[in-house]
Amino acid sequence: MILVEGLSKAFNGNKVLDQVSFEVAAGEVVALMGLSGTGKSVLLFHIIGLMSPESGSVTVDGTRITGLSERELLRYRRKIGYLFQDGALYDFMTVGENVAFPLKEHGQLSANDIRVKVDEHLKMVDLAGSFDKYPSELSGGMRKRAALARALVMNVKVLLCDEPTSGLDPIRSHDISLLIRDLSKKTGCTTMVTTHDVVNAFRIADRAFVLNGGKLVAQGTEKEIRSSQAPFVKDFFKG
Amino acid sequence: MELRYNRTMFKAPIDMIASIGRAALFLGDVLGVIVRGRVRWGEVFKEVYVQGVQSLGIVILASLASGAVLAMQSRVALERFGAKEVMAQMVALSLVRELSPVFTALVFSGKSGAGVASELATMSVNNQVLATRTLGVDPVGFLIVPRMLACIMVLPILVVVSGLTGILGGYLIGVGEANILSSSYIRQTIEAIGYQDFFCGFIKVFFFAFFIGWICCFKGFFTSGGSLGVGRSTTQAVAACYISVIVSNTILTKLILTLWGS
Repeated sequence: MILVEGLSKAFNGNKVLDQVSFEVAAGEVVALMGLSGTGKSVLLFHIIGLMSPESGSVTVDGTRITGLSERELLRYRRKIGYLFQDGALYDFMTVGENVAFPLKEHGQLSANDIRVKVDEHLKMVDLAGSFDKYPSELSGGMRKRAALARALVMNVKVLLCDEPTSGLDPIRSHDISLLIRDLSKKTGCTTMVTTHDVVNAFRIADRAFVLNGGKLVAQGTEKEIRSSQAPFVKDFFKG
Repeated sequence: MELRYNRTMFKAPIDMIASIGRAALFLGDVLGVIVRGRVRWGEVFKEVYVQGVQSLGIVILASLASGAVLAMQSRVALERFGAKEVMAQMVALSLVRELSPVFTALVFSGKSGAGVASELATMSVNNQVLATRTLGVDPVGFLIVPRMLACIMVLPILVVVSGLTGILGGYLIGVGEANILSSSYIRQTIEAIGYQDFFCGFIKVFFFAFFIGWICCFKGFFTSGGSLGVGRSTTQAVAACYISVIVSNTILTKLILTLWGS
């Protein structure tokens, strides 16, 4: 579903991604781990087409997105859900309007059908009854769940989550991790989650990739990663 | 060392040229959306309401006061020459040709322009602009074009309101304090303003509105650096609007007087 080949990106001569290659199968849930500032979010930005690489390519669902025009990218992004660290909900819209926004923009649904679908998704993320609330009236965890509902409402094929547990207490982190996993499995979408939270990473993911210094230094299941002999990986998991 | 000195010396003008270039490309994107007919009129009218309501009160208050002050000052000067009767013409012409358009544009920059810039800047630093792109929606079409068009629609209306309330302010002083007959003041006002006087001031308003919309949207849209960045962008936007209104007013006034006559 997601194929990344030889991806490199630098900012002001500082290499953030260095020849990164991997493949994620359809329906798989993958955690992308590494220290803060090691290029995890930059990698997600490449997958959704918000950044273009210096070399290498990204192919998603058979579409080579590297080199697409902005208009083609806007069309491509309709099948990708992106969950921002802080939710990035529109603060001038209610929660319901936020979730309905992509449906109104791209869908062919009637106002009634949109309402039904939005209510369904808000219920899925345990926010039934929050349709008319503004994001400022919600807690951090609730905002992330509302943003998750917005990311999934278009029946996306790929879900990208940027640090979904950051800023949350351990109980809320656990809840959102399980919610992402459950919804990914339920909807069958391929999911990539960036995190430096080792415990929650394997609650969410079937496999994990570990980035260090812009390079992919380990990949595999929890067992495979934990048995890695790479010094950085051992240190990272030891804390 | 010398190289570093030169780099520092040229940094500001180079940054300025780069910024103008980015602003021009940004304007190209805005015009592209308009030319392709992808204007979201619902959003435009929502913005017209928001920007209009934001500025209406302060424009009325400022215009009423400036019309009254203009009348008071005119009275002092005109009484010295025994020409108190032309006070109505003087107030009306000053307001319609010059004061209302410029004054309203400056007030509008500080109120609605700052509002637009800070709103977009906050959205920018909170990733809401980026989120729009991830949702497959062009943020220029969704967030910028409605705000820019609203500026161009609202400011002319505010200028008309400003002109009328300014004249009312002058009338209150002229009739109440200078003892000019009410009917005489109204007649003189109407006789004083020709269509060319009105359009001489009114044409400039569209340029002011265009500059205010463009500058505030551009500054807000390309904000980074958290809450500090929001404050910086908003201040820069308002300052740039003031400069553009004052400078373009001088150039446009000269152009209009040269091409159209007085």
